[in-house]
Amino acid sequence: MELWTNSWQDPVAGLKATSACMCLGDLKSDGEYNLVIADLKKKLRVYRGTSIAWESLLLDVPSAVAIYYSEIDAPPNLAVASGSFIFIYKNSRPFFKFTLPNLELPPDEVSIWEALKESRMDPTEAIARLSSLRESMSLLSNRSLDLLSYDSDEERLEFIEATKLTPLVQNTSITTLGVLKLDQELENAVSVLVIGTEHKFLYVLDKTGSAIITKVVLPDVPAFISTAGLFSGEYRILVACRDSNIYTVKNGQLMPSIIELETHSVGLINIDRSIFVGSVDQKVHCYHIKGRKLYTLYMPEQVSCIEMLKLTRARVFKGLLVALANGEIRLYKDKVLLHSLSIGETILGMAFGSYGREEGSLVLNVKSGGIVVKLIDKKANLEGRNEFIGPPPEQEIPLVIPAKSKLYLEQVDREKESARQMYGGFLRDLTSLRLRTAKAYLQLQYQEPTNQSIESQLSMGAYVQGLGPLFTIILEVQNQGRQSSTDIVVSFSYDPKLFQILTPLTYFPCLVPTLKYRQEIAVRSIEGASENIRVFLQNKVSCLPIISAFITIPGCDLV
Amino acid sequence: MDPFFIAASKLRRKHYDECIEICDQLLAKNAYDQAAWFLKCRALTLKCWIDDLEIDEEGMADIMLDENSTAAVPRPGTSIQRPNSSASGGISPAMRPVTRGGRPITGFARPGSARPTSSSGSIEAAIRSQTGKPGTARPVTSSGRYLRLGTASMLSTGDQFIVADKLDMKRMAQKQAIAKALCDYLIYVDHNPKKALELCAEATVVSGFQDWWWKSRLGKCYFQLGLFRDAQKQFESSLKQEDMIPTHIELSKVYIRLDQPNFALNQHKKALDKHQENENLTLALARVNELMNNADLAASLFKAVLQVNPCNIEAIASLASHNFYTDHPEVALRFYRRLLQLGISNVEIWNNLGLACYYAGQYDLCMKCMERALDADDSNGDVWYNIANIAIGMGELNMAYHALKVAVSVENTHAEAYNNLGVLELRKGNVEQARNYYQSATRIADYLYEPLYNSALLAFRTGEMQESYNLVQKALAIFPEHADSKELLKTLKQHFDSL
Repeated sequence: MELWTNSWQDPVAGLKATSACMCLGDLKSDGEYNLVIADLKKKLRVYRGTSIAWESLLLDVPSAVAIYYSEIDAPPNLAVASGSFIFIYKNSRPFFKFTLPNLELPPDEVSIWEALKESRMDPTEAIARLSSLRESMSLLSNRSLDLLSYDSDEERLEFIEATKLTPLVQNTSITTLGVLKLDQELENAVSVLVIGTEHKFLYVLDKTGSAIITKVVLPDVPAFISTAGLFSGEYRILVACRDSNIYTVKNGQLMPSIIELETHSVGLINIDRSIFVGSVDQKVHCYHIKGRKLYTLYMPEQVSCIEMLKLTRARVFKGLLVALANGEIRLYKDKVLLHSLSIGETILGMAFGSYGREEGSLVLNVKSGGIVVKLIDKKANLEGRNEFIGPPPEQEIPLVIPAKSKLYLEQVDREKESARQMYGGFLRDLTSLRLRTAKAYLQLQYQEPTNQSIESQLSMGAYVQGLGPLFTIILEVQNQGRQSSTDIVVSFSYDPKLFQILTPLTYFPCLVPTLKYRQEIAVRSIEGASENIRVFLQNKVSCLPIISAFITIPGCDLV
Repeated sequence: MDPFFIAASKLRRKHYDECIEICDQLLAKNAYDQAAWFLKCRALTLKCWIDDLEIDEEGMADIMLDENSTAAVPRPGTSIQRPNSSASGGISPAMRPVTRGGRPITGFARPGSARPTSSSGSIEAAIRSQTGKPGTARPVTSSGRYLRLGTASMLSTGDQFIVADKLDMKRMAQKQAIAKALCDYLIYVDHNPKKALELCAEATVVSGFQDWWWKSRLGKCYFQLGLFRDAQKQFESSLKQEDMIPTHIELSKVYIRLDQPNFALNQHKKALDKHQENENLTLALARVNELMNNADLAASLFKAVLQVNPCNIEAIASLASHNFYTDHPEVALRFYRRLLQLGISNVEIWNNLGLACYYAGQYDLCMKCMERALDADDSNGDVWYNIANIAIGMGELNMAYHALKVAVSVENTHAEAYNNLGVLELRKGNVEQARNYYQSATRIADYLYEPLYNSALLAFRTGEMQESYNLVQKALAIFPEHADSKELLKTLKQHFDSL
């Protein structure tokens, strides 16, 4: 059964948006849900049905979008985070702009710039003091950092001249947005915005979006936010930060418990009392909301984004959607993989929710810029499947074992009847064969040429190349011992009527352990017959050759 | 009695030498005696006749100068170069050893089955395989092969009977009977396909392009000259006139050389529809199927051959090896015994009998067979290698080590033996020695995945992860479904991920 059906797709939409920059919402409160995509090319686009409802240009690259209700029974607000601003749209019109407060800069730095502005201070001294400030304190304004980054004093002076008259302010930028319900758990309940910034702050705005009501300092820059609970009651804000830890803010207080991931996270969602976090090492971890690790799901590919699937039927079904880098979308219920679908293209962003009038739509933004909308099958029975327990189905499939023939059974009978004789014969023959092998081995040790000498630990490989009548014998000699050997002469024994060796003298002055030495010896076949050539390695110490080998020169047609 | 009549009778009784002698006397009396000339020509041809339907060996030059290769990466199942993989029911290299050409071993040694052919693509493999046992040198060209087969008989006949270069082919073609005898002589004795082609061309003109025999001979000449497309045309045209079994087989040989095995299969099937249950056709079809790794299909065809001719040695041997490698050694044992009864008693048979006995559990006979094999030839590397295998199976590691040492000394290109020696050395704890053995095995036989996997495993255990990764990749390139290699690769990947 196919779980997903195609709703519509626009392969040439030309949009690039991550999951954070995509959301679904009923912007006009008329029951027709819209798709909001903030493109990374500074464009905000809203789809309604299969067409573009409206489009607007943005001043800066957006970092996140969110839809939230600021009052009951009114159209929701659309918040677009871009730079240090949050633009709030209502009824498809710009409505309000919230600017994040400027950061407080260290008073020393402010006073230096004041002095520079009034030309009370020598620029070189100011630079020296700023750099000592940078050594001692962590946070300086961008302007000071820019100044210090110049190499030559002339450029620094120019920079001071150009900038000293403008007031010194330090903006921050928003990295992520979250929505936290204010006092009701309904879908269109009044909510507040949660903002994470580049300077490690977490803000909660009030419901009109005009004032900060809570401010928390985080240990690192937040990357993903997930919320649970009610702001007026008890709430938790989970923040996955760039130091690959997950921090919890509970009722405005940073909790001491930290979830430490091994690698960076690619997405964070919470379903009921579980936290799911995708990590870059092809895993999705599941934690209890209090920080206890529950399990890890292993993926065959990189996780590109994760999303919650929530369907309200007779019972509410909540599952986990995982999009992989190879275009596969997996649906998990707890640990069980319910369904897998392949798009065939890398997925950048994913949003699940209602679209148009249909509940259960999955909107995907793929790498080529297209948008794909899939619809979950209404009759799909997702509940029944997660009761799957027991061994994998492969265990039930029997192995293919060929049937034993009748002949085999007859032989078994023979074995049963005359076991004694058979065993006796076997033992006798085994001893005889063992003797024969040992004899052959012994003979080998004394007479036969070996290409592995025992005392000096040299080994020689020799093989022939060529089609004839000219052949090349390639000798590869390796010293496997611990000491180097010197003055090794290569000599040959062959029938001079059949062969002529063209390389005059082959000689290895020194053989260093473990190195491979290679010599090529040219041979001419006179008669074209196939015959052996013996190759010896000799040194001056021993009268016996160190190693010898037979090389068979193949026959050739053309002489 | 008329000496000519005696000569004709000798020819019929296959006493070719005597026939030639009488004809020589007749020709000495009258040099223009056409009847005697004809008889001598036939006798010489029949004496040197080789059934070239079965012998088809590609020369070195054919491989290097192969102009017929079309697709570099053909679809699996459409080329001999890429037969059906083991995933689609073919033969797994884990179950069946491979030959020097990297193909699954066949039960019957045929030219081309054990060596790389032009369709297997690697020149280097072809050159290297030449450095094997003496006597297995590859001829430079395919006509060179025929030449060498011919030289022995040429020497015995003394002076040359027909000087092909001096013949006027146009005049010869006028006399049909003499021309046919001459054509066969040129092909089979003189090995001069160029001249034969000239004669055939003239003769077909004389017969008004209506004689199937000349056309098929024309095709044979083109085939020997390596002009496969021309050969194909001639054979097809010949078949249109007269449906002959040899022509069918020769046409499919052309297809095989063009690396179009599916066409060859179709050709055989078409022919079998007409000539039902023909032994040669069925055998040829089975061979093509074997080339394509369709082992089960080939086995059923060999069975069909045996129903027609219960003494067909190729079919018996092929079925024996098929049964052996599909886990029915006791059946294989029966087939090998049958071969023995047919009067074949060589080292290979005894070796195979011994192995079949061992795997079928007939331990009392197994050792005797191996000893018989050694009696027949104790410088055969395979026999010693198999003795070592049996010894390993019984846990006699010392004996196995000795046997393997003997195997590599009698045949220093026995890659499998080097590989097993490496494993045994590793058990003894000689890591460097083991590594050397694996390396020589890989160098000798780059079609074996075992030494590559073993060296990868060794490199992994000694901590050389990158080396291990490279080696296991090579092993998997040879045998993509090797489970242990896959497992090692997975472990390595996990290791690299955690870095």
